[in-house]
Amino acid sequence: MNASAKNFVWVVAEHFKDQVRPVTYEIIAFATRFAVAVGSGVRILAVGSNVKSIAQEIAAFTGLDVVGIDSPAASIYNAEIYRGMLKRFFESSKPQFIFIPHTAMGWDFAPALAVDLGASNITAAVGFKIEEGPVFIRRICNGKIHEDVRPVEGTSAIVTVMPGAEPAIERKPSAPGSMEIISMDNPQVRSKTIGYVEAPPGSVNLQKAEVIVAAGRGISAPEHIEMIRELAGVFDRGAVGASRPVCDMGWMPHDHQVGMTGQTVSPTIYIACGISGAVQHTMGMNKSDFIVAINRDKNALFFTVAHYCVLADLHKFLPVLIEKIRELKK
Amino acid sequence: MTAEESAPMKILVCIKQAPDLESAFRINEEGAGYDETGLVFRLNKYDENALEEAALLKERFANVQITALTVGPQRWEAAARRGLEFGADFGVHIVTPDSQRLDALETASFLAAYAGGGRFDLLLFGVMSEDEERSQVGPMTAAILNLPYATTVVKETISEDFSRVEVERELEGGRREIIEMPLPAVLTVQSSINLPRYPNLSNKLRARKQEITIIHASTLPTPRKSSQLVRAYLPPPSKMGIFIEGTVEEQAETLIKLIHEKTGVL
Repeated sequence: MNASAKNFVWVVAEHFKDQVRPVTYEIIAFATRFAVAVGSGVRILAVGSNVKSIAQEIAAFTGLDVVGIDSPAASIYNAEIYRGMLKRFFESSKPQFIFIPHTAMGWDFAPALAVDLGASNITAAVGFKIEEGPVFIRRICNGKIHEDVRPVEGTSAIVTVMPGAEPAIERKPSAPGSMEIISMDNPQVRSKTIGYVEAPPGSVNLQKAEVIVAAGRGISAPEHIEMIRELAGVFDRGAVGASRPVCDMGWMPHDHQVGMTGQTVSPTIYIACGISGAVQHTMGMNKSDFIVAINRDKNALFFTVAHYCVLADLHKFLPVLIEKIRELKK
Repeated sequence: MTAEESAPMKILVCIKQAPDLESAFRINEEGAGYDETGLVFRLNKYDENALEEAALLKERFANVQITALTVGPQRWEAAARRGLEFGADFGVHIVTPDSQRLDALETASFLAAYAGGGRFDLLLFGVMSEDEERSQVGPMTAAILNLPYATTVVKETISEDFSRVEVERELEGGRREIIEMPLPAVLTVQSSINLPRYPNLSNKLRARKQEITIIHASTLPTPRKSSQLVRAYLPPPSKMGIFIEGTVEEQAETLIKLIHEKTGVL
Protein backbone atom coordinates (compact mmCIF):
# COMPACT_ATOMS: atom_id res chain seq x y z
CA MET A 1 0.00 0.00 0.00
CA ASN A 2 2.71 2.47 1.01
CA ALA A 3 4.63 2.09 -2.22
CA SER A 4 1.66 3.32 -4.23
CA ALA A 5 0.43 5.73 -1.57
CA LYS A 6 2.30 8.56 -3.26
CA ASN A 7 -0.01 8.57 -6.22
CA PHE A 8 -3.20 9.21 -4.30
CA VAL A 9 -4.87 12.24 -2.87
CA TRP A 10 -5.29 11.36 0.81
CA VAL A 11 -8.00 12.48 3.22
CA VAL A 12 -7.56 12.12 6.98
CA ALA A 13 -11.00 11.26 8.38
CA GLU A 14 -12.35 12.93 11.49
CA HIS A 15 -14.41 10.89 13.91
CA PHE A 16 -15.57 11.35 17.47
CA LYS A 17 -16.86 8.70 19.89
CA ASP A 18 -17.18 6.03 17.18
CA GLN A 19 -19.04 8.31 14.78
CA VAL A 20 -17.67 9.63 11.51
CA ARG A 21 -18.07 13.41 11.71
CA PRO A 22 -20.13 14.82 8.80
CA VAL A 23 -17.29 17.20 7.87
CA THR A 24 -15.29 14.14 6.77
CA TYR A 25 -17.72 13.57 3.89
CA GLU A 26 -17.42 17.22 2.85
CA ILE A 27 -13.62 17.00 2.68
CA ILE A 28 -13.90 13.71 0.78
CA ALA A 29 -16.15 15.48 -1.76
CA PHE A 30 -13.58 18.28 -2.06
CA ALA A 31 -10.73 15.77 -2.48
CA THR A 32 -12.71 13.78 -5.05
CA ARG A 33 -13.32 16.82 -7.23
CA PHE A 34 -9.66 17.76 -6.78
CA ALA A 35 -8.44 14.25 -7.66
CA VAL A 36 -10.49 14.27 -10.87
CA ALA A 37 -8.94 17.62 -11.80
CA VAL A 38 -5.38 16.40 -11.28
CA GLY A 39 -6.01 12.92 -12.70
CA SER A 40 -5.58 10.99 -9.49
CA GLY A 41 -7.60 8.86 -7.06
CA VAL A 42 -8.71 9.37 -3.46
CA ARG A 43 -7.72 7.26 -0.47
CA ILE A 44 -9.02 7.75 3.05
CA LEU A 45 -6.94 7.36 6.20
CA ALA A 46 -8.56 6.88 9.61
CA VAL A 47 -6.63 6.78 12.88
CA GLY A 48 -8.07 5.28 16.06
CA SER A 49 -8.40 2.33 18.37
CA ASN A 50 -10.82 -0.28 17.02
CA VAL A 51 -10.77 1.87 13.91
CA LYS A 52 -12.27 -0.94 11.80
CA SER A 53 -15.89 0.14 12.26
CA ILE A 54 -15.05 3.71 11.26
CA ALA A 55 -13.08 2.49 8.22
CA GLN A 56 -15.92 0.16 7.28
CA GLU A 57 -18.52 2.91 7.47
CA ILE A 58 -16.47 5.27 5.28
CA ALA A 59 -15.66 2.53 2.74
CA ALA A 60 -19.36 1.60 2.51
CA PHE A 61 -20.57 5.19 2.29
CA THR A 62 -18.08 6.45 -0.28
CA GLY A 63 -17.06 3.37 -2.24
CA LEU A 64 -13.47 4.55 -1.74
CA ASP A 65 -10.56 2.54 -0.37
CA VAL A 66 -9.80 3.15 3.28
CA VAL A 67 -6.71 2.53 5.38
CA GLY A 68 -7.16 2.36 9.14
CA ILE A 69 -4.25 2.83 11.53
CA ASP A 70 -5.11 1.01 14.69
CA SER A 71 -3.50 1.69 18.04
CA PRO A 72 -4.87 1.51 21.58
CA ALA A 73 -3.24 4.89 22.22
CA ALA A 74 -5.42 6.53 19.60
CA SER A 75 -8.70 5.80 21.38
CA ILE A 76 -8.96 9.54 21.96
CA TYR A 77 -7.65 12.36 19.73
CA ASN A 78 -4.26 13.71 20.71
CA ALA A 79 -2.06 15.84 18.46
CA GLU A 80 1.17 14.03 19.34
CA ILE A 81 -0.34 10.60 18.76
CA TYR A 82 -1.83 11.64 15.41
CA ARG A 83 1.40 13.28 14.31
CA GLY A 84 3.44 10.27 15.35
CA MET A 85 1.29 7.84 13.42
CA LEU A 86 0.72 9.98 10.35
CA LYS A 87 4.41 10.76 10.13
CA ARG A 88 5.25 7.07 10.18
CA PHE A 89 2.59 6.30 7.61
CA PHE A 90 3.42 9.07 5.16
CA GLU A 91 7.16 9.63 5.52
CA SER A 92 8.28 6.96 3.06
CA SER A 93 5.59 7.57 0.41
CA LYS A 94 5.39 11.37 0.74
CA PRO A 95 2.10 11.74 -1.16
CA GLN A 96 1.62 14.99 -3.00
CA PHE A 97 -1.66 15.96 -1.34
CA ILE A 98 -3.09 15.27 2.12
CA PHE A 99 -6.44 16.88 2.94
CA ILE A 100 -7.59 17.40 6.52
CA PRO A 101 -10.74 19.16 7.80
CA HIS A 102 -10.02 22.66 9.12
CA THR A 103 -11.55 21.93 12.51
CA ALA A 104 -10.38 22.08 16.13
CA MET A 105 -8.72 18.74 15.37
CA GLY A 106 -7.31 19.58 11.94
CA TRP A 107 -5.80 22.96 12.73
CA ASP A 108 -4.37 21.43 15.90
CA PHE A 109 -2.16 18.77 14.31
CA ALA A 110 -1.79 19.68 10.60
CA PRO A 111 0.75 22.55 10.90
CA ALA A 112 3.00 20.54 13.21
CA LEU A 113 2.72 17.45 10.99
CA ALA A 114 3.88 19.61 8.08
CA VAL A 115 7.00 20.52 10.09
CA ASP A 116 7.56 16.83 10.95
CA LEU A 117 7.29 15.77 7.29
CA GLY A 118 9.10 18.74 5.75
CA ALA A 119 5.84 19.38 3.91
CA SER A 120 4.00 22.45 2.73
CA ASN A 121 1.00 23.56 4.73
CA ILE A 122 -1.97 25.59 3.57
CA THR A 123 -4.79 26.08 6.06
CA ALA A 124 -8.49 26.97 5.73
CA ALA A 125 -8.70 26.44 1.97
CA VAL A 126 -12.14 27.16 0.53
CA GLY A 127 -11.48 26.05 -3.04
CA PHE A 128 -8.84 25.26 -5.63
CA LYS A 129 -7.95 26.11 -9.23
CA ILE A 130 -5.78 24.19 -11.62
CA GLU A 131 -3.18 26.39 -13.28
CA GLU A 132 0.33 25.19 -14.06
CA GLY A 133 -0.23 23.20 -10.91
CA PRO A 134 -3.03 23.35 -8.37
CA VAL A 135 -3.48 26.49 -6.28
CA PHE A 136 -5.67 26.74 -3.20
CA ILE A 137 -8.00 29.63 -2.44
CA ARG A 138 -7.96 31.17 1.03
CA ARG A 139 -9.95 34.06 2.46
CA ILE A 140 -8.11 36.63 4.54
CA CYS A 141 -9.11 39.83 6.36
CA ASN A 142 -12.59 38.53 7.16
CA GLY A 143 -13.14 37.53 3.54
CA LYS A 144 -12.40 40.99 2.14
CA ILE A 145 -9.43 39.59 0.25
CA HIS A 146 -8.87 36.23 -1.39
CA GLU A 147 -5.49 34.74 -2.08
CA ASP A 148 -4.28 31.87 -4.24
CA VAL A 149 -1.55 29.86 -2.58
CA ARG A 150 0.42 26.94 -3.91
CA PRO A 151 2.56 24.36 -2.17
CA VAL A 152 6.33 24.70 -2.34
CA GLU A 153 7.59 22.68 -5.27
CA GLY A 154 8.82 19.21 -4.52
CA THR A 155 7.11 18.91 -1.15
CA SER A 156 3.97 17.15 0.06
CA ALA A 157 1.08 19.55 0.57
CA ILE A 158 -0.90 19.24 3.78
CA VAL A 159 -4.05 21.25 3.17
CA THR A 160 -6.76 21.89 5.73
CA VAL A 161 -10.13 22.52 4.08
CA MET A 162 -12.86 24.71 5.56
CA PRO A 163 -16.03 22.93 6.61
CA GLY A 164 -18.76 23.99 4.21
CA ALA A 165 -16.32 24.54 1.33
CA GLU A 166 -17.96 21.66 -0.52
CA PRO A 167 -21.31 19.88 -0.04
CA ALA A 168 -20.88 16.42 1.50
CA ILE A 169 -20.40 13.49 -0.86
CA GLU A 170 -23.59 11.49 -1.56
CA ARG A 171 -23.77 7.89 -0.45
CA LYS A 172 -22.55 5.61 -3.25
CA PRO A 173 -24.94 2.73 -3.83
CA SER A 174 -22.16 0.73 -5.54
CA ALA A 175 -19.82 -1.74 -3.88
CA PRO A 176 -17.95 -0.57 -0.80
CA GLY A 177 -14.29 0.36 -1.11
CA SER A 178 -11.58 -1.93 0.18
CA MET A 179 -10.30 -1.72 3.69
CA GLU A 180 -6.88 -2.29 5.15
CA ILE A 181 -6.12 -2.10 8.86
CA ILE A 182 -2.53 -1.46 9.96
CA SER A 183 -1.46 -1.88 13.57
CA MET A 184 1.05 0.59 14.95
CA ASP A 185 2.94 0.82 18.19
CA ASN A 186 2.14 3.71 20.43
CA PRO A 187 4.24 6.75 19.59
CA GLN A 188 6.19 8.49 22.31
CA VAL A 189 4.09 11.32 23.69
CA ARG A 190 4.34 13.87 26.46
CA SER A 191 0.83 15.29 26.42
CA LYS A 192 -2.18 13.30 27.56
CA THR A 193 -5.76 13.89 26.48
CA ILE A 194 -7.80 13.24 29.61
CA GLY A 195 -11.36 13.61 28.37
CA TYR A 196 -14.10 16.02 27.43
CA VAL A 197 -16.36 18.58 29.01
CA GLU A 198 -19.67 18.68 27.17
CA ALA A 199 -21.29 22.04 26.38
CA PRO A 200 -23.77 23.02 29.06
CA PRO A 201 -27.32 22.52 27.83
CA GLY A 202 -28.34 25.96 26.59
CA SER A 203 -30.71 27.84 28.84
CA VAL A 204 -31.50 29.88 25.78
CA ASN A 205 -33.23 27.87 23.15
CA LEU A 206 -32.38 29.60 19.93
CA GLN A 207 -33.55 26.50 18.07
CA LYS A 208 -37.21 27.27 18.71
CA ALA A 209 -37.08 30.91 17.73
CA GLU A 210 -38.77 32.06 14.53
CA VAL A 211 -36.75 35.26 14.46
CA ILE A 212 -33.20 35.66 15.79
CA VAL A 213 -31.82 39.15 16.19
CA ALA A 214 -28.08 38.80 16.65
CA ALA A 215 -25.63 41.36 18.03
CA GLY A 216 -22.07 41.82 16.82
CA ARG A 217 -19.18 44.01 17.88
CA GLY A 218 -20.78 46.79 15.83
CA ILE A 219 -23.26 47.50 18.64
CA SER A 220 -20.16 49.15 20.16
CA ALA A 221 -21.18 49.09 23.86
CA PRO A 222 -22.89 46.58 26.15
CA GLU A 223 -25.79 48.93 26.94
CA HIS A 224 -26.86 48.73 23.31
CA ILE A 225 -27.82 45.07 23.78
CA GLU A 226 -31.08 46.53 25.06
CA MET A 227 -31.89 47.73 21.54
CA ILE A 228 -31.30 44.20 20.20
CA ARG A 229 -33.56 42.75 22.90
CA GLU A 230 -36.26 45.25 22.01
CA LEU A 231 -36.19 44.30 18.36
CA ALA A 232 -36.30 40.58 19.21
CA GLY A 233 -39.16 41.37 21.59
CA VAL A 234 -41.42 42.86 18.93
CA PHE A 235 -41.65 39.46 17.21
CA ASP A 236 -43.88 36.80 18.74
CA ARG A 237 -41.14 34.19 18.76
CA GLY A 238 -38.02 36.30 18.73
CA ALA A 239 -34.72 35.54 20.47
CA VAL A 240 -31.38 37.27 20.91
CA GLY A 241 -28.26 35.75 19.40
CA ALA A 242 -24.71 37.04 19.46
CA SER A 243 -21.37 36.76 17.74
CA ARG A 244 -18.33 35.41 19.50
CA PRO A 245 -16.64 38.77 20.31
CA VAL A 246 -19.83 40.01 21.99
CA CYS A 247 -19.86 36.93 24.24
CA ASP A 248 -16.11 37.04 24.85
CA MET A 249 -16.36 40.65 25.99
CA GLY A 250 -19.01 39.58 28.47
CA TRP A 251 -21.78 41.66 26.86
CA MET A 252 -23.90 38.52 26.42
CA PRO A 253 -23.65 35.07 28.01
CA HIS A 254 -21.96 32.41 25.86
CA ASP A 255 -25.17 30.39 25.52
CA HIS A 256 -26.41 33.06 23.08
CA GLN A 257 -23.45 32.50 20.78
CA VAL A 258 -24.19 31.47 17.21
CA GLY A 259 -21.52 29.89 15.05
CA MET A 260 -19.01 27.11 14.79
CA THR A 261 -18.22 27.03 18.50
CA GLY A 262 -21.73 28.06 19.57
CA GLN A 263 -25.14 27.02 18.33
CA THR A 264 -26.12 26.22 14.77
CA VAL A 265 -29.50 27.78 13.98
CA SER A 266 -31.84 28.11 11.01
CA PRO A 267 -34.75 30.39 11.96
CA THR A 268 -37.21 31.87 9.46
CA ILE A 269 -35.60 35.29 9.91
CA TYR A 270 -32.05 36.10 11.02
CA ILE A 271 -31.21 39.75 11.55
CA ALA A 272 -27.47 40.34 12.00
CA CYS A 273 -26.77 43.67 13.68
CA GLY A 274 -23.21 44.92 13.36
CA ILE A 275 -21.71 41.46 12.78
CA SER A 276 -18.71 41.44 10.43
CA GLY A 277 -19.61 38.07 8.93
CA ALA A 278 -16.59 35.97 9.85
CA VAL A 279 -17.20 32.51 8.46
CA GLN A 280 -16.93 31.03 11.97
CA HIS A 281 -20.19 32.87 12.70
CA THR A 282 -22.03 32.56 9.41
CA MET A 283 -21.54 28.81 9.11
CA GLY A 284 -23.79 28.56 12.17
CA MET A 285 -26.73 30.44 10.62
CA ASN A 286 -26.43 30.50 6.81
CA LYS A 287 -29.31 28.06 6.37
CA SER A 288 -31.79 30.59 7.77
CA ASP A 289 -34.64 31.37 5.33
CA PHE A 290 -34.49 35.16 5.29
CA ILE A 291 -31.23 36.80 6.28
CA VAL A 292 -30.86 40.52 6.88
CA ALA A 293 -27.54 42.19 7.65
CA ILE A 294 -27.35 45.66 9.11
CA ASN A 295 -23.88 47.16 9.03
CA ARG A 296 -22.25 50.53 8.52
CA ASP A 297 -19.28 48.97 6.71
CA LYS A 298 -20.27 48.67 3.04
CA ASN A 299 -17.68 45.94 2.53
CA ALA A 300 -18.85 43.83 5.49
CA LEU A 301 -18.57 40.18 4.60
CA PHE A 302 -22.01 39.55 6.07
CA PHE A 303 -23.53 41.35 3.07
CA THR A 304 -22.44 38.38 0.94
CA VAL A 305 -24.36 35.97 3.19
CA ALA A 306 -27.45 38.17 3.64
CA HIS A 307 -30.41 38.17 1.28
CA TYR A 308 -31.06 41.81 2.16
CA CYS A 309 -28.52 44.37 3.24
CA VAL A 310 -29.07 47.57 5.18
CA LEU A 311 -26.11 49.93 5.01
CA ALA A 312 -26.82 52.08 8.05
CA ASP A 313 -25.80 53.09 11.53
CA LEU A 314 -27.49 50.60 13.87
CA HIS A 315 -28.15 53.24 16.49
CA LYS A 316 -30.17 55.26 14.01
CA PHE A 317 -31.80 52.44 12.08
CA LEU A 318 -32.91 50.04 14.83
CA PRO A 319 -35.03 52.51 16.86
CA VAL A 320 -36.88 53.48 13.66
CA LEU A 321 -37.40 49.83 12.68
CA ILE A 322 -38.64 48.90 16.18
CA GLU A 323 -41.03 51.86 16.22
CA LYS A 324 -42.47 51.06 12.79
CA ILE A 325 -43.02 47.38 13.62
CA ARG A 326 -44.77 48.40 16.85
CA GLU A 327 -47.05 50.76 14.93
CA LEU A 328 -47.87 47.98 12.50
CA LYS A 329 -48.75 45.59 15.32
CA LYS A 330 -51.15 48.01 17.00
CA MET B 1 16.93 28.92 48.62
CA THR B 2 18.88 27.21 45.90
CA ALA B 3 19.68 29.04 42.69
CA GLU B 4 17.22 26.85 40.87
CA GLU B 5 14.35 27.75 43.15
CA SER B 6 14.96 31.44 42.84
CA ALA B 7 15.25 31.43 39.04
CA PRO B 8 12.24 33.15 37.51
CA MET B 9 9.65 31.31 35.43
CA LYS B 10 10.02 32.70 31.95
CA ILE B 11 7.07 33.24 29.69
CA LEU B 12 7.42 34.20 26.05
CA VAL B 13 4.40 35.79 24.38
CA CYS B 14 4.55 35.88 20.58
CA ILE B 15 2.58 38.78 19.15
CA LYS B 16 1.96 40.65 15.91
CA GLN B 17 0.31 43.67 14.37
CA ALA B 18 -3.02 43.39 12.55
CA PRO B 19 -5.09 45.92 10.61
CA ASP B 20 -8.52 47.10 11.70
CA LEU B 21 -10.73 44.70 9.74
CA GLU B 22 -13.52 47.23 9.34
CA SER B 23 -11.31 49.12 6.92
CA ALA B 24 -11.72 49.06 3.15
CA PHE B 25 -8.97 46.85 1.75
CA ARG B 26 -7.17 47.30 -1.57
CA ILE B 27 -4.72 44.97 -3.23
CA ASN B 28 -1.12 46.17 -3.23
CA GLU B 29 0.79 46.94 -6.42
CA GLU B 30 2.56 43.60 -6.45
CA GLY B 31 -0.77 41.76 -6.17
CA ALA B 32 0.77 39.96 -3.23
CA GLY B 33 -1.40 41.10 -0.36
CA TYR B 34 -3.29 44.14 0.81
CA ASP B 35 -2.13 47.72 0.45
CA GLU B 36 -1.27 49.01 3.91
CA THR B 37 -1.68 52.68 3.01
CA GLY B 38 -4.33 54.29 5.17
CA LEU B 39 -4.94 51.19 7.27
CA VAL B 40 -4.87 51.48 11.05
CA PHE B 41 -2.65 48.81 12.60
CA ARG B 42 -2.91 47.66 16.19
CA LEU B 43 -2.07 44.56 18.18
CA ASN B 44 -3.73 41.36 16.98
CA LYS B 45 -6.73 40.92 19.33
CA TYR B 46 -5.97 37.28 20.16
CA ASP B 47 -2.45 38.33 21.18
CA GLU B 48 -3.95 40.67 23.77
CA ASN B 49 -5.50 37.57 25.33
CA ALA B 50 -2.10 35.84 25.29
CA LEU B 51 -0.48 38.84 27.01
CA GLU B 52 -3.30 39.01 29.55
CA GLU B 53 -2.91 35.31 30.37
CA ALA B 54 0.81 35.91 30.98
CA ALA B 55 -0.03 38.87 33.22
CA LEU B 56 -2.50 36.72 35.19
CA LEU B 57 0.20 34.09 35.71
CA LYS B 58 2.57 36.79 36.92
CA GLU B 59 -0.01 37.76 39.50
CA ARG B 60 -0.48 34.16 40.57
CA PHE B 61 3.17 33.16 40.74
CA ALA B 62 5.66 35.28 42.61
CA ASN B 63 8.58 35.08 40.23
CA VAL B 64 7.56 35.36 36.59
CA GLN B 65 9.32 37.19 33.77
CA ILE B 66 7.41 38.00 30.61
CA THR B 67 9.01 38.66 27.22
CA ALA B 68 6.92 39.94 24.31
CA LEU B 69 8.36 38.90 20.94
CA THR B 70 7.32 40.04 17.49
CA VAL B 71 8.65 39.25 14.01
CA GLY B 72 7.97 41.73 11.27
CA PRO B 73 8.96 44.93 9.51
CA GLN B 74 10.47 47.96 11.24
CA ARG B 75 7.10 49.55 12.05
CA TRP B 76 6.06 46.48 14.04
CA GLU B 77 8.18 47.71 16.92
CA ALA B 78 4.83 49.14 17.98
CA ALA B 79 3.68 45.59 18.73
CA ALA B 80 6.61 44.95 21.06
CA ARG B 81 5.89 48.28 22.82
CA ARG B 82 2.24 47.38 23.13
CA GLY B 83 3.43 44.12 24.73
CA LEU B 84 5.23 46.18 27.37
CA GLU B 85 2.08 48.23 27.94
CA PHE B 86 0.22 45.00 28.58
CA GLY B 87 2.74 44.11 31.28
CA ALA B 88 5.63 42.33 29.56
CA ASP B 89 8.99 42.92 31.24
CA PHE B 90 10.97 42.80 28.00
CA GLY B 91 10.21 43.53 24.37
CA VAL B 92 12.04 41.85 21.50
CA HIS B 93 11.66 42.60 17.81
CA ILE B 94 13.03 40.39 15.06
CA VAL B 95 13.15 42.83 12.15
CA THR B 96 12.41 41.58 8.64
CA PRO B 97 12.63 43.59 5.39
CA ASP B 98 9.62 45.84 4.73
CA SER B 99 8.92 44.20 1.38
CA GLN B 100 8.91 40.65 2.71
CA ARG B 101 5.57 39.10 3.59
CA LEU B 102 6.40 36.19 5.86
CA ASP B 103 5.01 32.76 5.44
CA ALA B 104 3.82 30.95 8.61
CA LEU B 105 6.82 28.61 8.71
CA GLU B 106 9.26 31.48 8.21
CA THR B 107 7.67 33.32 11.14
CA ALA B 108 7.67 30.17 13.28
CA SER B 109 11.32 29.48 12.41
CA PHE B 110 12.41 33.00 13.43
CA LEU B 111 10.45 32.73 16.69
CA ALA B 112 11.97 29.31 17.36
CA ALA B 113 15.47 30.63 16.64
CA TYR B 114 14.97 33.10 19.48
CA ALA B 115 13.03 30.85 21.84
CA GLY B 116 15.20 27.74 21.50
CA GLY B 117 17.61 26.25 24.01
CA GLY B 118 15.03 25.89 26.76
CA ARG B 119 15.12 29.59 27.60
CA PHE B 120 11.38 29.70 28.30
CA ASP B 121 9.06 27.67 30.49
CA LEU B 122 5.92 28.63 28.62
CA LEU B 123 5.23 30.07 25.16
CA LEU B 124 1.91 31.79 24.58
CA PHE B 125 0.34 32.74 21.24
CA GLY B 126 -3.02 34.06 20.10
CA VAL B 127 -5.01 31.30 18.40
CA MET B 128 -4.59 33.03 15.02
CA SER B 129 -3.99 36.39 13.40
CA GLU B 130 -7.06 38.42 12.56
CA ASP B 131 -5.85 39.23 9.06
CA GLU B 132 -4.25 35.99 7.83
CA GLU B 133 -6.41 33.53 9.83
CA ARG B 134 -3.85 30.75 9.38
CA SER B 135 -3.60 29.22 12.91
CA GLN B 136 -0.22 27.77 11.97
CA VAL B 137 2.53 29.68 13.73
CA GLY B 138 1.92 28.37 17.29
CA PRO B 139 1.89 24.64 16.50
CA MET B 140 4.70 25.04 13.95
CA THR B 141 6.90 26.79 16.52
CA ALA B 142 6.15 23.97 18.98
CA ALA B 143 7.06 21.34 16.37
CA ILE B 144 10.35 23.07 15.50
CA LEU B 145 11.27 23.31 19.18
CA ASN B 146 10.00 19.79 19.83
CA LEU B 147 7.71 20.99 22.60
CA PRO B 148 4.25 19.69 23.53
CA TYR B 149 1.45 22.11 22.73
CA ALA B 150 -2.26 22.76 22.76
CA THR B 151 -4.23 25.08 20.49
CA THR B 152 -7.48 27.01 21.02
CA VAL B 153 -7.01 27.01 24.80
CA VAL B 154 -9.86 28.50 26.85
CA LYS B 155 -8.51 27.61 30.31
CA GLU B 156 -5.11 26.76 31.74
CA THR B 157 -4.08 25.54 35.18
CA ILE B 158 -0.36 25.46 35.88
CA SER B 159 0.92 23.32 38.74
CA GLU B 160 2.34 25.09 41.81
CA ASP B 161 5.89 24.11 40.85
CA PHE B 162 5.42 25.36 37.27
CA SER B 163 6.25 21.91 35.91
CA ARG B 164 2.94 20.88 34.33
CA VAL B 165 -0.11 22.45 32.76
CA GLU B 166 -3.65 21.21 32.34
CA VAL B 167 -5.65 22.97 29.65
CA GLU B 168 -9.14 22.97 28.25
CA ARG B 169 -9.26 23.51 24.51
CA GLU B 170 -12.36 24.48 22.61
CA LEU B 171 -13.93 22.11 20.12
CA GLU B 172 -16.94 22.60 17.86
CA GLY B 173 -20.35 23.23 19.40
CA GLY B 174 -19.04 24.35 22.79
CA ARG B 175 -17.45 21.01 23.74
CA ARG B 176 -14.06 21.15 25.46
CA GLU B 177 -11.13 18.76 25.48
CA ILE B 178 -8.91 18.41 28.54
CA ILE B 179 -5.19 17.83 28.00
CA GLU B 180 -2.31 17.68 30.39
CA MET B 181 1.34 18.15 29.51
CA PRO B 182 4.73 18.95 31.05
CA LEU B 183 6.30 22.40 30.76
CA PRO B 184 7.94 23.85 28.78
CA ALA B 185 5.01 23.86 26.38
CA VAL B 186 3.31 26.03 23.79
CA LEU B 187 -0.30 27.20 24.15
CA THR B 188 -2.35 29.16 21.63
CA VAL B 189 -5.20 30.93 23.40
CA GLN B 190 -8.75 31.53 22.24
CA SER B 191 -10.34 34.92 22.91
CA SER B 192 -12.76 33.66 25.57
CA ILE B 193 -9.88 32.69 27.91
CA ASN B 194 -9.86 36.11 29.60
CA LEU B 195 -10.87 39.72 29.24
CA PRO B 196 -7.73 41.79 28.59
CA ARG B 197 -7.51 44.76 30.91
CA TYR B 198 -6.55 48.21 29.75
CA PRO B 199 -2.83 48.89 30.18
CA ASN B 200 -2.17 50.86 33.34
CA LEU B 201 -0.43 54.20 33.32
CA SER B 202 2.88 53.02 34.79
CA ASN B 203 3.23 50.32 32.12
CA LYS B 204 2.33 52.84 29.44
CA LEU B 205 4.98 55.26 30.62
CA ARG B 206 7.55 52.47 30.92
CA ALA B 207 6.70 51.20 27.42
CA ARG B 208 7.47 54.62 25.96
CA LYS B 209 11.01 54.70 27.30
CA GLN B 210 12.14 51.12 27.64
CA GLU B 211 14.54 49.78 25.07
CA ILE B 212 13.32 47.08 22.69
CA THR B 213 15.87 44.38 21.86
CA ILE B 214 16.36 44.39 18.09
CA ILE B 215 17.47 41.30 16.20
CA HIS B 216 17.86 41.48 12.44
CA ALA B 217 16.36 38.48 10.71
CA SER B 218 19.33 38.46 8.34
CA THR B 219 21.52 37.34 11.27
CA LEU B 220 19.35 34.24 11.80
CA PRO B 221 19.34 31.09 9.64
CA THR B 222 17.18 31.52 6.50
CA PRO B 223 14.08 29.42 7.04
CA ARG B 224 12.24 27.32 4.48
CA LYS B 225 8.72 28.25 3.39
CA SER B 226 5.61 26.14 3.80
CA SER B 227 3.60 27.80 1.03
CA GLN B 228 3.98 30.10 -1.94
CA LEU B 229 1.64 33.01 -2.48
CA VAL B 230 0.60 33.25 -6.11
CA ARG B 231 -1.64 36.31 -5.94
CA ALA B 232 -4.09 38.23 -3.82
CA TYR B 233 -7.29 39.74 -5.21
CA LEU B 234 -10.61 41.19 -4.22
CA PRO B 235 -13.36 38.57 -4.15
CA PRO B 236 -15.97 38.77 -6.91
CA PRO B 237 -18.29 41.55 -5.73
CA SER B 238 -21.46 40.17 -7.33
CA LYS B 239 -22.33 37.84 -4.53
CA MET B 240 -23.74 40.44 -2.13
CA GLY B 241 -27.40 40.46 -1.13
CA ILE B 242 -29.83 43.14 -2.28
CA PHE B 243 -29.20 46.53 -0.72
CA ILE B 244 -32.22 48.31 0.71
CA GLU B 245 -31.77 51.95 -0.24
CA GLY B 246 -33.14 55.25 1.07
CA THR B 247 -33.30 57.14 4.35
CA VAL B 248 -33.44 55.07 7.53
CA GLU B 249 -37.25 55.53 7.54
CA GLU B 250 -37.51 54.28 3.96
CA GLN B 251 -35.09 51.42 4.66
CA ALA B 252 -37.16 50.34 7.69
CA GLU B 253 -40.42 50.46 5.73
CA THR B 254 -38.98 48.47 2.82
CA LEU B 255 -37.55 45.86 5.19
CA ILE B 256 -40.89 45.42 6.98
CA LYS B 257 -42.64 45.02 3.64
CA LEU B 258 -40.10 42.40 2.53
CA ILE B 259 -40.42 40.48 5.81
CA HIS B 260 -44.18 40.48 5.35
CA GLU B 261 -44.08 39.38 1.71
CA LYS B 262 -41.29 36.82 1.90
CA THR B 263 -41.89 35.23 5.30
CA GLY B 264 -45.40 36.17 6.45
CA VAL B 265 -43.96 36.76 9.93
CA LEU B 266 -45.20 40.34 10.18
